Amino acid sequence: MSKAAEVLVFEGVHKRFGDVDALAGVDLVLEGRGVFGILGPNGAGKTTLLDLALGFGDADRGTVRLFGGALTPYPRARVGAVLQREFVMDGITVGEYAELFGAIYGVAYASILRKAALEPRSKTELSRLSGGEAARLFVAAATAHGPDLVLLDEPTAALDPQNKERMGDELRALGERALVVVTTHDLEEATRICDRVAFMAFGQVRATGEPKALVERWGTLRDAFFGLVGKTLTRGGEIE
Amino acid sequence: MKAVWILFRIRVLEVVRRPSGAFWFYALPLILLGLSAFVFAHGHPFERRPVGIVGYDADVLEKLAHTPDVRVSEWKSAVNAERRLRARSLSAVVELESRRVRVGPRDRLFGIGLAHEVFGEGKGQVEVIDVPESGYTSFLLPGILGQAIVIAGLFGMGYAMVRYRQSLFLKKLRTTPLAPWKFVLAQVMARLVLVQGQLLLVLGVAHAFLSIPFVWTHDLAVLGIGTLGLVTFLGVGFVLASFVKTDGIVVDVINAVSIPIALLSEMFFTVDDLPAPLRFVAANLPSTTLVRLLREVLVYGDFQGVPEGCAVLAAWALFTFAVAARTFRFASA
Repeated sequence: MSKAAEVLVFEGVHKRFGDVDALAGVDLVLEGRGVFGILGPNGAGKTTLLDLALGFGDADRGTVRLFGGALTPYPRARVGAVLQREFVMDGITVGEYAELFGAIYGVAYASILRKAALEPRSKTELSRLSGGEAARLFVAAATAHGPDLVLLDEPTAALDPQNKERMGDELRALGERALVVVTTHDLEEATRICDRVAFMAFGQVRATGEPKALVERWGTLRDAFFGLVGKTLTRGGEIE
Repeated sequence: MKAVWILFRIRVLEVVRRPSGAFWFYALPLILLGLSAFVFAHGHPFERRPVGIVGYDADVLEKLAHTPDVRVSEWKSAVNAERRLRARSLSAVVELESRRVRVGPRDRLFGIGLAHEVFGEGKGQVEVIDVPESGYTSFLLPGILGQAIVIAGLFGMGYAMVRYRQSLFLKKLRTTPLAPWKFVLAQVMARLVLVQGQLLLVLGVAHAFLSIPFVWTHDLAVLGIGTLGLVTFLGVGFVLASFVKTDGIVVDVINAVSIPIALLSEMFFTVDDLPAPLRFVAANLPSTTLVRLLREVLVYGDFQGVPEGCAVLAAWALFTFAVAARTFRFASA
């Protein structure tokens, strides 16, 4: 793939918090469109990786590039994000939330409600939505402006299987026109929706590749996960 | 009962495990005690009777300066002095030229003694004027308005920003193209509208039930000065939010800041009798400037000090927002 198709690149990125190496030399090149999954146990460095991609703080060492350039000034209009924990103000309604993000991104708020399939619930307090409905709203609001890169930190973690599947379909659809980077613990979901995945552990990317190739090599994605992120891991690198 | 014991233990540990929580819990009353002892080192604030002198006589001023039970202030205008007498900021007004002492009905004996002291036996005249019983309320009203503005500013920005940051709402907004200053502006505007409503409500009640005369120019000035004061204290709250990380601690810090402000800003009593270092601190607090300005316009109808006072508040507002702009972090990795 040509250099112009580069979306997000990490080169030898290190980030340390106190005496913990959150990222210990991450090299990762994300290109084109599709859904890219970042898998790994808690504390693997997934959220820190997304934070740096979002321009929150600088790497201690190494380089992060976005759309082939530096992160400053940050191209916020080309990026959308859903954080691991989404806060909403007390009493805010679904309609008001959609209105806020519609105003920020310069789109009609009705389109956000429509994408989230929440038009009939616009006057409902957001805190009264189910986990699945809220997740749909957050994703719809974060992608209302048609970003080229969408960063989602465990967007399906609190969802039941039905909503997880529905969200997966929406992410697949988003991946048709943007690069969607999603962190998850759910290996089945990763197999179903991701075009490529990276396994992270101890602040490092242990392997990247297509889920299919990983399954072929390890038997199941679960075996790949435990094999690649286990403490005794010795192998790594790109899966062929 | 075992569960009760465990819950009890957890609750106690919840407070004492957090060093800042334990500090504020145990230290705040001690700080308050120490501060009160310092503030009232020269006696309680109403011990010395405030007396206004209209006109100049070096001998009289010298004599009263050495009288421990009065505190003297000089006035060029009898009208201005009388306004303060009616608001109970002064206990008596001595008019040297007409050899007259003016007091309220409850200070008649004090007035007789004062006239005797100043003019000699039988040489001065005492005039008892009608002073509204709500006189001290009218003194307190600007203090209460000032305190509401200070608290609204500190909580409106200090607490809200720490809470928004801690809950990652600010981080979320930073993932969007929304400029941070627009978010801050919206916070300021929201607080302004809420506080203007609060001020109008208090003023309305004061006019309706507390014999505070309604003069629309005075109320308008209160709203304007209140706006400037609020922006100043929103700035102070913003600075606090730069350094305090959790919403639990920010409440303690705001309490710790607002208590000395209440004692030193002439909200409830004048600072004239405070020890000199505290008088200096008090005089330089923006809250003192705010309360004095509110009192000048609302109670005394005196607009002379408004331009200078407003300039002081504006300078504080600019300074605090400039500091916050450099120190506040919306989000970090």
